[in-house]
Amino acid sequence: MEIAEEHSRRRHKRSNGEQNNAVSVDRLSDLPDSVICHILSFLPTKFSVRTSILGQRWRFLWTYAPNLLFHNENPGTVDRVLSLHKLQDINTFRLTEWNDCNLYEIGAWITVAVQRNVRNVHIDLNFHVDLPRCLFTCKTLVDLSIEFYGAVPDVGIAVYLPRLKKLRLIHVDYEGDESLPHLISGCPVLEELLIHLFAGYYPFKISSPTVKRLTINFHSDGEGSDNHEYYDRLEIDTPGLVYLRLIDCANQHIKSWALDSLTEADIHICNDFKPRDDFRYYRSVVDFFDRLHNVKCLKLNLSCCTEIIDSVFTTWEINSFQSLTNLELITDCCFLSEFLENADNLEILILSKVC
Amino acid sequence: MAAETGTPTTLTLKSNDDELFSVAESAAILSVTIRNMVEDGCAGGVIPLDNVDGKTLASVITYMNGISAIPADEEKKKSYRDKFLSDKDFETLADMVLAANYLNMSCLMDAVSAKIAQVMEKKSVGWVRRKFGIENDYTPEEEAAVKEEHKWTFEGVETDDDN
Repeated sequence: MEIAEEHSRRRHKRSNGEQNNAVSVDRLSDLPDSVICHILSFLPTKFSVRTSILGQRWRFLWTYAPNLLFHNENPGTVDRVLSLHKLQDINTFRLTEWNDCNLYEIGAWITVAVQRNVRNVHIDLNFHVDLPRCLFTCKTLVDLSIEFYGAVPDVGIAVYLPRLKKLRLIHVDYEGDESLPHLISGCPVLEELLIHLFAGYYPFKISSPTVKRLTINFHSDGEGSDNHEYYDRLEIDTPGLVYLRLIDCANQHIKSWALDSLTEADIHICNDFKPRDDFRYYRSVVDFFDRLHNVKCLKLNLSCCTEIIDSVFTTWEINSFQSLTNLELITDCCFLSEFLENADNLEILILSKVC
Repeated sequence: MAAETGTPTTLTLKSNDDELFSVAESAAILSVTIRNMVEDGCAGGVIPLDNVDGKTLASVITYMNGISAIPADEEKKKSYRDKFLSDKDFETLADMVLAANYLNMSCLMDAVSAKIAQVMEKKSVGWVRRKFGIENDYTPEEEAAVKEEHKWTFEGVETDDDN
């Protein structure tokens, strides 16, 4: 750090004569600058900049805090903070609950963060913006979270995030049908993926050999269910998956490839539509349940769809769930006997009956 | 090492006020400082930790044991850390951050730093100065200039010094 050495071990006499906690206070004033900057990095940037008022030593300490966390600030303020900030490497760059500003400004800030080797980016906007393309080829990015309205580029736009391990896409826009597979294919070490989206987009395929934790939440769009023109189809091809959470309110077809490493699954199927093809749909649900055969912990919530329960129950010949030790069922009781017969090692059972 | 003998190795740690603590090596090596000593073969007898007092060290060891007993589940670890720090007052947090820094324990350092930041965020400038032992060495003119320079950071801020 470039902070003057004389500051780093500077000791201040306490001015108010307080006697209690004297040891802690004296030791706190001795905190090395690196520790103070570490503490400041957990403050929203507005508050870390505010500490410059505390005393001479603190005047520029905030400019060495590795995280920049903005919460709907004045655009000019962000420009100014970025120009004063002295670290070449930004750890976390966060824009949350941004209501309004020039689209070019958002792009420019993210570009600065990318140029400063940012590792974690969290963008949460209240309006649509085309994110700068450089964000999707950022070599240092480890954790990327985009909430609301940021758009994922279409095929043809370069996507390569060689260090990205964690990706969260919450109600983002996709420029094309293949945007998501295109993005995931550009993340060779991705381990954790979380996606929330409204139903009614397009066939939805998640394919990655490296993903270990996957959360997918399909919300119903709330416009009734019987008039849907689309044919949603979810396909999961993630052989290394260990944890799966699926909340599905919309798909007309679920397909999964082998999930032999899966140990924990939390599945909530609550379709409120009338399937276009009942038999094919129930068959796909049954096949999907069979893919869960290696899990140790299973939570299965079918409380919102008694039709599925009936159909699944009549067509499903449950495979042996030999690894299953924890089971939570929120469904009709008719499921219970099936599971108990096929889960010899079950230790914990939580049953919530559907009313 | 423990893996070779099959029995857990126990280390003895000594605080700067001469209290002795036994702790499983597998938990203690969460501290990079201690791990380096173990790897360098300096852990045969008592490991002196000159910058940590007994009260704080006891707390750190409780944390080491608690967090190392949780399998690789980041959410459960986070929930343990939140609970562990929930009843700590500011002075204890201050001691913990210094100990975590000295012991080079990044997970504890992050958790305590975040907690201190969370407390600081709601406090007035005067409160932070008192708690951190900071002398206001600005002249009134300088202080006014700094405040003017960053006046956006003072807008819409409510402080709560009582809690």
